[in-house]
Amino acid sequence: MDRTERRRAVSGSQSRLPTWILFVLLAAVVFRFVTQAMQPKVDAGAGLVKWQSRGSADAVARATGKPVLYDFTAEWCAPCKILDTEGWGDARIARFVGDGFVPVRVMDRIQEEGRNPAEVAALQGRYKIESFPTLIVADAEGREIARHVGWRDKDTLVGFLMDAARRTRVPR
Amino acid sequence: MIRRFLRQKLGSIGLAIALLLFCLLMAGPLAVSGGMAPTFGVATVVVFLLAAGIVSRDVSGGAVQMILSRPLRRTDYLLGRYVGFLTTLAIVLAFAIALGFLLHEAGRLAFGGQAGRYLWTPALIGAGGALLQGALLGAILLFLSTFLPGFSDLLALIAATVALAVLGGIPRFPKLAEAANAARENLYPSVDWGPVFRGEALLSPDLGRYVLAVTVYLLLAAWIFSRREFAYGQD
Repeated sequence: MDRTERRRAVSGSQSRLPTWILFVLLAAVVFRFVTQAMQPKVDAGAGLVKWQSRGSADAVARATGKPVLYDFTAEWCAPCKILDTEGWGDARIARFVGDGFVPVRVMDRIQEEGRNPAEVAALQGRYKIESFPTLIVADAEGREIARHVGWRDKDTLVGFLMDAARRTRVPR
Repeated sequence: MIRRFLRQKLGSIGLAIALLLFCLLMAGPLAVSGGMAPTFGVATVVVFLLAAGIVSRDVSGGAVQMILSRPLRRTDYLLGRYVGFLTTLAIVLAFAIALGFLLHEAGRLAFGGQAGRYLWTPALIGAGGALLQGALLGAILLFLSTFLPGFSDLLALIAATVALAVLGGIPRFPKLAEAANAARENLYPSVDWGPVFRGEALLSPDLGRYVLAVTVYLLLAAWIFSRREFAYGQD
């Protein structure tokens, strides 16, 4: 037995797991929860619409055949708040959105944090978002199908959603 | 144990030639784009070459029994195999980047310096991402290799990947598709490493999923391997 082996020789069972393994597992679990908690909570959604996570939206869109409805919004944006309460807070609209689209909320964080998460910046760049709220309907490959900028009233929102659904032949 | 892995892998002429070919495949796009467009997709094949049967072949060949006749913890053996795999992968990726640089410079000399300078940062970010994604694949193969014989670990990994991809794309069963996509997201999380290396996404959920997945695979491997019984003697 050489010196290295002697140093690494273990007392007790050769099969015994070292205790530091538990600490590593604990640290990984804590990190997982921290990263989950650090995700902007607004992603959970506003109103009655069940917003999907950005990461799985394309896959869900491909699987279900529904187009993705992106809601580009910001915390400080007053018209976005009206859209949340009057638009997404309407049960009929929320049901229509849930049935016909894969809804994804993309929250701008520049005002609060000085910059956006990389995927938010990438989505804003891809769809050339210049103001909030902006609604984009895109297919699973990310191709833009319809766009609506700003908030006017509920009827305009319903008209936009129905027009977008018709263009993508969404089953209702 | 690390040196043993390196000797095993780089000492085999056939494998060394295959790794050199894969290095050339990775170096080509790096040389042409001057480091701007690193394409390390082929690194997955390198991971398969290095990590398939990482433990099971030692078990079937009787090497594990010989190694464990020395006062080593079983977890030390596993850790040695895994670190050895990561070291070899890092050497291969570093070699590919260096080869890309040399080919790029050779091109610059041949064409009178018309091409731009070799950009190390995107090349290193690409290689770092390939190494870390390879670390996850290696951890999965290590885990599967502790209880599956031969190269069944690789077959099981491919079968599971295909099954989740197929289930995740069935439009008629959206719930099933959602569950399969969620499983894929957690069992084999894919991380966009660029923002992570730039420090912009150090607390992204994808990174959290990645860290937990690698840890759990390694711990499961250690737990299963520590409870296995090996045949000594005539086997």
